[in-house]
Amino acid sequence: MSVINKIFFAICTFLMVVSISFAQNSVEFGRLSNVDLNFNSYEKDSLADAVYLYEYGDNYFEVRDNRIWLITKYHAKIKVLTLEGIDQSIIEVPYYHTDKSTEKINDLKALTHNSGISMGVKKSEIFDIDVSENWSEKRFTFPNVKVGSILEYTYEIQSPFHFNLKGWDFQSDIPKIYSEYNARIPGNWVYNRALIGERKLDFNEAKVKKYCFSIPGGTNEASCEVLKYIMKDIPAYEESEEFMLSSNNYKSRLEFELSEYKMFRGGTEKFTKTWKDVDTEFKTDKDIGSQLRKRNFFEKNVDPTLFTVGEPLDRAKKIYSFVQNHFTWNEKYGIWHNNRVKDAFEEKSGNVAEINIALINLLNARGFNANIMLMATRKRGLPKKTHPVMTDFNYIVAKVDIDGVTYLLDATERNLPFGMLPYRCLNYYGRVMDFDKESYWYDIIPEGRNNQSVRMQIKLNPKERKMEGILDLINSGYQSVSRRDLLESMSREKYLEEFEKTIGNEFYVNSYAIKDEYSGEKKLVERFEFDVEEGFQASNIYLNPFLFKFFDKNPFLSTRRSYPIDFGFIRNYEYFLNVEVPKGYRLKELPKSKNIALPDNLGAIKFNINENASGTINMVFSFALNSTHFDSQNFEMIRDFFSEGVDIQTHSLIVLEKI
Amino acid sequence: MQLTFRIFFLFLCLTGTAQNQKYQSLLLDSSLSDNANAIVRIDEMNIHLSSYNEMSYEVNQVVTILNSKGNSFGVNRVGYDKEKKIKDLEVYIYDNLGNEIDHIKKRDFEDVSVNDGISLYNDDRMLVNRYTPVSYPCTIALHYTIETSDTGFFPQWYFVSDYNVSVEESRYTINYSDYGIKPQIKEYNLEEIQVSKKESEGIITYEAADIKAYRPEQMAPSFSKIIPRLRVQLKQFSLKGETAEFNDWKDFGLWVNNSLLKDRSNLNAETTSKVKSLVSGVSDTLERAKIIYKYVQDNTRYISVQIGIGGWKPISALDVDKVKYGDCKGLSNYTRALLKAAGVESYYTVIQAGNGKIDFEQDFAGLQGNHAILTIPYKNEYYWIDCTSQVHPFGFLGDFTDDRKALVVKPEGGELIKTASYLNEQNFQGINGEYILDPVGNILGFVKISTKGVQYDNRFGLEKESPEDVVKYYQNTWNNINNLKLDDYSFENDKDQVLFTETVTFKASNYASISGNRILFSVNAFNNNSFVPNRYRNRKFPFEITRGYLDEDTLLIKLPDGYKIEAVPEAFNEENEFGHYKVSFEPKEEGHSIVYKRSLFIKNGFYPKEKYGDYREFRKMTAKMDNSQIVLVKK
Repeated sequence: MSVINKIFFAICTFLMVVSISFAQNSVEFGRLSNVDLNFNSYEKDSLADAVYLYEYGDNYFEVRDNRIWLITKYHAKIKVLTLEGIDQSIIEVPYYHTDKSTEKINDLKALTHNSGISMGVKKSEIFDIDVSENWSEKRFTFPNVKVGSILEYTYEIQSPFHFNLKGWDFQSDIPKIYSEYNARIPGNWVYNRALIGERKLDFNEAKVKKYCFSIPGGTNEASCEVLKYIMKDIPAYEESEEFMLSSNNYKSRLEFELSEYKMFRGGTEKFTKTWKDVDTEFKTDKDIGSQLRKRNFFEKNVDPTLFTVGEPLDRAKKIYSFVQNHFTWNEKYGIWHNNRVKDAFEEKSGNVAEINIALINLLNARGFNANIMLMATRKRGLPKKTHPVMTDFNYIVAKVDIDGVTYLLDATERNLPFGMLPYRCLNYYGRVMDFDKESYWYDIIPEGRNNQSVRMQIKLNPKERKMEGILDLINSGYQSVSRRDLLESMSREKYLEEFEKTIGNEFYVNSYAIKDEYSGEKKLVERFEFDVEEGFQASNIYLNPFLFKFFDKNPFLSTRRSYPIDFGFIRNYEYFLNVEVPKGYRLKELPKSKNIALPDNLGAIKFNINENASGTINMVFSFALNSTHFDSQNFEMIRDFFSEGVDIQTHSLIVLEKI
Repeated sequence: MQLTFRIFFLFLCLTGTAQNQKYQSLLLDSSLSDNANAIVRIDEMNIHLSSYNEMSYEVNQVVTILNSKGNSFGVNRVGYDKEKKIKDLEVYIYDNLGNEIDHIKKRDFEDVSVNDGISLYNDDRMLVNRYTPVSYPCTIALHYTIETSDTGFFPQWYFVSDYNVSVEESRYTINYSDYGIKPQIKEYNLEEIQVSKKESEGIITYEAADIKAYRPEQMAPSFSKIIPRLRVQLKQFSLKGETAEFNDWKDFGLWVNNSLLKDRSNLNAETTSKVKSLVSGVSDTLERAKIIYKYVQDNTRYISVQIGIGGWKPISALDVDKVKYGDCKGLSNYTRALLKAAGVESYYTVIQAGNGKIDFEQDFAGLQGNHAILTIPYKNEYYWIDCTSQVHPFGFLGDFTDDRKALVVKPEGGELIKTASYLNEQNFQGINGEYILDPVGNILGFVKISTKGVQYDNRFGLEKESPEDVVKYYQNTWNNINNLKLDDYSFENDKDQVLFTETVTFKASNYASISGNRILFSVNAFNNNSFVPNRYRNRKFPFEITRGYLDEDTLLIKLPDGYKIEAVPEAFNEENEFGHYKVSFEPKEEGHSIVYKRSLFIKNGFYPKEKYGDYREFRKMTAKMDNSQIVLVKK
């Protein structure tokens, strides 16, 4: 569990008040300060292509034409430092609309400043683009941009959608010297907030201002909470290479979520507050809760004689596989809107929620106790545990208890064994919505045995400069799932061609079979009988025993890493090899055996090779990663560990000498 | 099982549910489903041309999708703009029995801006519907009618739209009201398939049936060069409200001059005098041109905005001068204006850009091209510049616009001229390096890489990369060297000679394999070319090496003391119609070092499919030889 604690993002409460005033005076559009004018390089990041000198945002509510609008003011100044930095000169301002109403972008102004000369963007140079059904954007570019230019722009969004007060992104792909966010929120609106990322606020203030907001004809003036948050010298966010959880866990930003709206004419509309509220709402929610009460439908539409005999676990497995095969997943998650389990069942196609809710319904119809677990994919980021933020969740799986054992199920992928979640779901925990009791957090424990192992026998035929052999490739756990997916994605012929290619030019597969008798739900055994032509030179034989390589390149090439490495599941590679020393040859050299262990048993490489009395060379190699999560401080250790793995596989050498 | 299935099918027919038997996909012709991700059941276009600026066409397309790789047929996009109106539009979806699953009407389509991937803004719009099949096969029937005054881009006809798609029936019909507006048609690759052409007064029809799916093959000529298709155009046409007429390329050039470029090249007095001062004292016009090109590269950038006729007409030089950006047309026209002010003549040039070389055809002058560059005449030669690039050397096009016929717009009219080519040894890479191998298998040394021609084009961008990305680049390029570390690197970009030089000092631990007393290592550390083209049991298409190249490597490898050479590959030399491969390993200093020499020459050319096997064998051999190893043993 310590791992999970470590990967929590820093959530601060907003009660600490830093009293020193960092805030700049509000900056007038079009006027550059002396600091701006004299800024030529950014010492804190000498490689930056561009930098925000200043960024300002303000959210508040205002009555215009007898309606309450959410207003967002934005103002930024960006200094271009290199030719690549000129790419920052294209600006897109998205806005949302529905059939009934739309956000408006007002007072969009933009200026390019070049050593004292400023040039504006004309109205006709600001374009309006319809990106999709509900999203459009204003798009423009700055004129006369060169290295050294300061790009300044400002706009206002006037929005009828009050839930669109979403917060503020402090961190972006270029650094920021100063970023300030303000909000004035009348007491009628209550928002939950969280600060995401490791960086702290440089300034943080919350005050109450009385009589700050009223509606026309209303008698009471509401008090407002006046908020100001500032960060300085925010470094650019750099994407790390492979094996990453979502950048949403690390990027510095403020998140707001509307939790309550006290209407001016009385009454309160609650959005999200406590898990208790959520639990109650969920039972009646038409997209999720009430979709769970389709037990009758499934009793009617699924042959009642099915899944009635056998042990409970067998029956559950049969139900799971029935649902897996019944549905085609439409690649959508869509858990919050328009879930129609019955229609999806009839159409044999649906999103994650529809498929897994159908599974839960069917399990419950057959007497099991199955519940929904809300969760987020790895790409989405970890849901906040401090308070319910429903938009953090984007996925639903089934949780079922059978004979005292708990299983998490997702029926969207055909090759997924019972009790395993797809890789995209290996995101640590979810919230189980138990409608009989209260909801609770539940940890996702990935399948522990994910091996790829090779058993190989090679015979050398020096006369014809040929090798012959048998290769058994045994994949288990997640390795077997991805192997099955690969097998199904192409014709058998193509699969074998690709396999031959990865090994090398003169490697030919003569016969291939999937060994069903040794395979199972979580295991796949394949046998390749092969020969290698011109496998070695004529006199002495120099042989790399790793004909098959689990990986021949290090996935970690960077010199440093800012964010943790997360493998999702632990993995283990094993290689067993027998080579007979052919007649007329004797063993001259063997590679050195090697044992490497990471601290705390986090990983180990074992490599042993020797010749036995009967003239056979035996080799055993294993590469095991026993933890899924490593902090960025451990990056070098992991990189070097993989590098050792690559070296052994690519650089081992057996020398057989001609007698 | 079979029987119950059939009965079920019959039953559905009798009850008369919304079913379209024509679109069932239970009984498909297996010769059409071979290698196919989708079968086009019918693809039909019916064009009515009532005058040079009034046309409508009706499209009727029914496609059975066989697997998820054919899903793109479920996405239907129909473009429109100010001149082009969509009249009817609807899509029906059928399951494998021909039952209607869905009917999408025009108002259900999403109405969005076209995102061409390049432009800041493009005023084209489209209606789009995205359908993801839930089971296979399923059938998509698309029907729409377009009315337009734009006839400049006349609908073309591809009898097959893509690889791995077969066609049951294809029909293209043009009805024209008057002999004077009869379109010109050019046919390509029709001998590949059975096509019937019928022509009577006022009507032309092409029909083809049962076209088997084409399989993509590595190194095959580009799709448009091998697929049966028609190009169609009008002599007199309308484009975004402007009328044009041309019989040949000369006319096209005159139209560009008179309608598109006219009054677009004025400059203000300030800029004119700036230009004059930039070139003052320089008498040679080519030198002047270089100065102006550099000025444009340093001061402008590429931003594409396409509005109305602006897709063809450049924004004025005055505007570009003000905002310092423009698209290819705007920047070319602006540069032409600056050159003129500097006393240098240049010609606006329309070209089909892209990695594949596509010519404008002498006998078929019509609206085409997707890019504009400039042609500068100098002492009976032509120099070309691409004004959208801020980094390319003067006169160097790279593989984006090289070696193809383009329309050069001279004052007296248009003329087709072939642009500069980069072939064979012009695309050169030289590697010179030295490394020391130590007894534990580490290496340490330096390497110098010089590139010219298209190989220059592939490398010179390195200059602008961040140090982190440069390191990543070498780690990926030399991924045969695990643990590669760069101690230092430097680049020299000689734009006059179009020569890029990289000097890299490096080290790598465990480069060699050690086993007891022996060390084995791959000599060719920096140019290990493992490319072997795919094997095809029955190759259909010829193959093409579009440019060719020459690589020459010389490495000096210092061997560790106390070791002698146990095995070293023999020198090897092969020369054939595809080029040559020469390699030698020469011990020096009494076995203390080895000089490795390698030369790989791949010749540009167009080869019949029968030669493909030979070429593959050649590359198998080069890949193998590139991986040659040397064995050392302790003395």
